[in-house]
Amino acid sequence: MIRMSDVSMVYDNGTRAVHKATLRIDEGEFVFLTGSSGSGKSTLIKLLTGEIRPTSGRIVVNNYNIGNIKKREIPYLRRTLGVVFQDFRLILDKSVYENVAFAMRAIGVRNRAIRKRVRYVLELVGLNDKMDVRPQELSGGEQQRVAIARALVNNPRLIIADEPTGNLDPARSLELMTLFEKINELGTTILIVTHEKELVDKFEKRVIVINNGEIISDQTGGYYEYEEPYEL
Amino acid sequence: MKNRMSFSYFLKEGVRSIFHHGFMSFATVSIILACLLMTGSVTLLSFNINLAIEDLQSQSEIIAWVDESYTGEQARGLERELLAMENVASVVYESKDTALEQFREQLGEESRLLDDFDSAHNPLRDAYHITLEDVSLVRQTRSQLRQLEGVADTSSSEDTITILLRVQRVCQVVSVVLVVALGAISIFIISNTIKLAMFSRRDEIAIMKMVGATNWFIRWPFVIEGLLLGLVGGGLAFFAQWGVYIEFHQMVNSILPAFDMVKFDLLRPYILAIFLGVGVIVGIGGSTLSMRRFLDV
Repeated sequence: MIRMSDVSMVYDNGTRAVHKATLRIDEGEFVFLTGSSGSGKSTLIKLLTGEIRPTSGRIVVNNYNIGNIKKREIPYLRRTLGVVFQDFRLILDKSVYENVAFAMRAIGVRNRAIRKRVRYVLELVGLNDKMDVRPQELSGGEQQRVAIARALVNNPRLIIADEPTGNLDPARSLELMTLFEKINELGTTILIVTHEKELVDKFEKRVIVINNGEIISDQTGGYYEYEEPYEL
Repeated sequence: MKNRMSFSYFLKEGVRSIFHHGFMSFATVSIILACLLMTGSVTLLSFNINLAIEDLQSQSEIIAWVDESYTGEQARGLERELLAMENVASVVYESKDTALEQFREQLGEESRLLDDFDSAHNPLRDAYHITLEDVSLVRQTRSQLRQLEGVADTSSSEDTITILLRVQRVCQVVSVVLVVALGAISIFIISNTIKLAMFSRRDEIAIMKMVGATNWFIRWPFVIEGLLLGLVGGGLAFFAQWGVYIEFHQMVNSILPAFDMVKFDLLRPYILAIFLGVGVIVGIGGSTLSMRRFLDV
């Protein structure tokens, strides 16, 4: 699923975003990636989605080697991933149904298959009664559910969620995490990037802590501290 | 099935985008139309001049004007001498009365302008129409004719050809300049239209990239948008060219009846094909030029 060994990423301006990161995430896992702002979490996601290439080290995602992936192969890597963002990134002039269907249309799926799959996924995230509604008419939590449905609709092997609860209140955040847990139980690997300590604590999952571009802790159990990070 | 579905999606998105940026689309079509019409008009003029030149060259005729002091009989007497000259294939005598009559016929309704002239007061001269054996020797034959006693002056289509060649050269230069300048303007405008379309849909493009759409899947609607704008511009330019050509043809016919322009019906399929082809090339070229920046996600 994800294999990283000694991965470093230094941007052109000299910023060292990731330093000798090594980790392994297997099929079916539910993992939290945590760390403070500027710790290198976003760079790690960019590396996983093929937006950038590592300066050194080896990184393999769903059997694609990001270090030497060809440009034309990147779309096929991304079809194995579902990405959820903090700001939802929904198309405001499209309905909920169209927003989700759009992700399938973009990879050339037939209409009949789209209709069937979108209905199923919207039902899974609990929005089957809001298919024709536009995103602005939904609450933040509902909008994020649409984004999750969109990430899920192409049946990815791995869902990466970047601060998915950043714009939500604690109750909605908890609901959303429960939804991720449900999706994980159905077989999809989940990687959630967050810095919400309380939320992570509620779920006894594997937690990877990154600080100054280095992975400083990787263990199951949920609890973590910024101030006193676990030693490896 | 999948391809057909994708094509209808690309087409739908392309058409949607055209109407979404109605003004820019209108500007693009207008500029393509104007460019093709201007270039087409100059090229067609050049084409017709070329035909006229070829026609005149094939006629290869010299007119020898007989000295005014010669009587009709004396003038006719020149025929033997002319036939004896080198490179002369045949000669046809045209008396000044016949020439006046023909001129009257040519003028048609305007022939009243010649009411004051008759055989007693005829400003025209007796003349010989001389055809040559070898057209390339027209200059030498003309100078020999000028030396012949009784020949006051000569004229040949060579003079007209020289003038036409000059006009044609101007047309060629103008059409090349127009093709380059207006072509560049068309591509610039169309590429900006597509850039605007892509900019307004940058979020959609980013999402498409994130879910694994290929660059070509993202490009196609914009390529189709450019192609449709080019086709519409080319199509409208064809009809505009048709109208302009017919008007111009009628105008030339009334002013210069001798200048025989090609009928538009004969040119129609070629002009349609060329205009649509150029429209498509400009449309696709302009749209693909502007895409790269938006696809680096």
